[in-house]
Amino acid sequence: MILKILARTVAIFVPVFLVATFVTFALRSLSGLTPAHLQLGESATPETVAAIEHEWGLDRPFLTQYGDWFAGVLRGDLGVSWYNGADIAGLLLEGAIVSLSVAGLALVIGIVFGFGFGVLAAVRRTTWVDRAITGVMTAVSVMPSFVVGIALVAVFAVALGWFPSAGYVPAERGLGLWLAHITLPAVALSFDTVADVARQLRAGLVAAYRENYVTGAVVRGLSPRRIFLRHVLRNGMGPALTVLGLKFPALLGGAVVTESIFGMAGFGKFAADSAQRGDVPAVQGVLVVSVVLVVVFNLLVNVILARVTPASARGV
Amino acid sequence: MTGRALFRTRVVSVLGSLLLGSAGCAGGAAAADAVPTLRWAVTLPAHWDPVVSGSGAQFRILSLAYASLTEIDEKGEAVPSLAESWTYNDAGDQVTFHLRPNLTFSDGTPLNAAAVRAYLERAKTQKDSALFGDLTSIESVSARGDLDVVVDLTQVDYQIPLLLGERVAQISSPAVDPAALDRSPVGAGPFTVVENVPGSHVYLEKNAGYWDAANIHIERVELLAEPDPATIVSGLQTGVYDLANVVPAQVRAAEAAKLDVVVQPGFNASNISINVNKAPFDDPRVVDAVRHAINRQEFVDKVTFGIGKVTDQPFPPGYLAYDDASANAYPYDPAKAKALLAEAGAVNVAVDLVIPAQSTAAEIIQAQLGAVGITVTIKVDPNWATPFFAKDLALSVYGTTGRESPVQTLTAHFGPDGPLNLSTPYQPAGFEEAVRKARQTPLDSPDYQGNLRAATRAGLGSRALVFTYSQPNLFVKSPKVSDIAPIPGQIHWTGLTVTP
Repeated sequence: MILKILARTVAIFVPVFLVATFVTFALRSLSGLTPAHLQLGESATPETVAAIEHEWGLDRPFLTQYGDWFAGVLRGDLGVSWYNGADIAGLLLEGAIVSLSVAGLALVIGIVFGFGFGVLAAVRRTTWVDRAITGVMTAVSVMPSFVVGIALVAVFAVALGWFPSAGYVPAERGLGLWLAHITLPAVALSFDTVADVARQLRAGLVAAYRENYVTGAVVRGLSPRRIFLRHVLRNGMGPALTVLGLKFPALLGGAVVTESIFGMAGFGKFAADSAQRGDVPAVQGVLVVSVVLVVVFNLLVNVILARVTPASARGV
Repeated sequence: MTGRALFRTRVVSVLGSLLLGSAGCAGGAAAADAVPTLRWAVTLPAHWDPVVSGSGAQFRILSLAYASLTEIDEKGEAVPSLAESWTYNDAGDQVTFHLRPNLTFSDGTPLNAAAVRAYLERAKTQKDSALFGDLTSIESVSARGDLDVVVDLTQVDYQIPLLLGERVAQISSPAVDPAALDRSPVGAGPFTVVENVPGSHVYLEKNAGYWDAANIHIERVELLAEPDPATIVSGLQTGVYDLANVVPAQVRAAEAAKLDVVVQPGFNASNISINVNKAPFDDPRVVDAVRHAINRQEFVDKVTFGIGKVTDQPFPPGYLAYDDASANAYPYDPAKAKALLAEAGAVNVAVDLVIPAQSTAAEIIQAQLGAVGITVTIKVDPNWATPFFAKDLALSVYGTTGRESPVQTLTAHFGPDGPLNLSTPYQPAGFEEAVRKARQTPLDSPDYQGNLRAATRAGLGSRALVFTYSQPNLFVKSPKVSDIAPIPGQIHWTGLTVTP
């Protein structure tokens, strides 16, 4: 079954990847952006611009350039940045470690608190606990991570001094230090995920509680715990898991803002800076890695979903 | 260690390995505080090769790793650095720089006359040089012995010691391939780069071989990619950074947090760039209408939050080359602007203002010109530089960080091939002659300032530029960092201390 999912994913992935890379690559030609001004500044004359473009091979036919670039991608070579001449694959790897740390912790927070609140609300459905959780989650879901981030810095870094207000320390220099640096950004980033997972889970579980098989189980005198774990949770968590699958790209996207607030040189900030500078090869590199990450994560969620709720694999 | 504690330690380390996929987690963050360290949140330079690095602001950062031939002092005058003195010949078309003896680059290569010659040659000829346009006065460079660098000029030019300062002559080691230099710089500056991750951080350590190393009191500098302006102040408050650039909007927050706001003088000036070769500005009356339509105070209030100054020249008021006699030659007078447009028969005038990124200044220009009857459409073009430097735009904006040499600032703006003159080859009448005279006046001559101001006055005859406001360089620093000397446009590391 897992093989089938893999095969289906690959069948979708290949054309998506080809089209996506081709379109972004074409955008360079359409935008007319050139590395010349990034390098020449006030010394940019039409002649020097032409010379630099020739040096970068931008005067060759479009398909030749795309072919060369794509061959590089397959070898793991994403080319060099127009902005600073650095190797893009290396920079992306550095940035991805930072972003995955933050997004990963945000995901963990999202799962733990999202499931916690969702289950609590469903179990205590229609009581004040349920109302309170639903109300708070609705409020939380509309708070932008950028505002939350600044508020967290003001309270937990400046006023209380519990966490550093910015920067990133790699885990090799100390696990505690690493966690301290990624906690505030991860919390800021996780709000949306917590809220969405909690609300989806609550809805899914409440719907499952109304099913006939649950009524049947109650009639047969099974314990509430067993009913919840075996019948309700298993059948009701599908929507929440699916939301989680969609959340990962959103976490990476949201990282643009949190990384900027917390001065972290992550994937999101790299993407945003590169786009603003018109550093085309870097933006293309970001796209390639994003597509791969999103597909891999969705694949993971599909596999989990297929194990937890077998019906989802049949496409029902 | 008891059995239980041991077990707990193991559990923690196993969890750590699971989380990281590696077991390496040694502490060591505290070690950074043992030595005086300056943590500077900054836009990291794209290039560390001074020949390739373009904008004026980047050279302030590169000055950590590179020493320059000369520096400037608080009055903006050239003072010794790698060159301990210089002498002009009688004609004024040749200058000899006398280097300090026994200088070396951080890689051990001797920093001698041949190395300086190689650097200047490279700056003139390298394909991606951002400096070649600044070196047109230099005919050739030769080494006389180990210590004398002889610079032959294409014209009489007493500006050379200013020109070969921080921006143009940060000398790099000739032993390093320029392409490698860009990633791992080798200079003779007060610090040596020990780690460089583009876009993330650059770590530098004190260079014991720097000529003035005795006066460098900081042992380590960490350049960190700056966060969003909204969290810079909290970053300094919590000690994550010691020094950062700050935007005017955050100055009050920084002061409220009891941080030091450093208002560093600079040569900065912003302008409205006009192309007199294109309609509607091919009619001088329309240009005059623009000049009278501009209310500079509004830029100071809304763009710089009152920190800047109005200026109608490519320099801030009070600067050596600022010409008081030309100040406010075209006062704000919208009625007169309307009358001029009517006289020119310019009804329904519409023009595109093309800019590289969203800007408050552009919106002010749009409103002020709109008020007198010129309809301005703002077009944000990320590709702006292409048409701007190709002089294809009718109307744009520019802000310069200025040059150490005032004459160079003038020619860049008003000269027939000045990069900042949107109307090339147009130049105002009498400018060429006035600039030549200023260039030919020795810097210590009593006539120098007068001739310089005359050149500014002649340049301001140009219809291609309407200057608006000048903003000093703004930094915010923690009180742990000692006062930064108010040297225009530069930061000098000599004497600066950081209390750990």
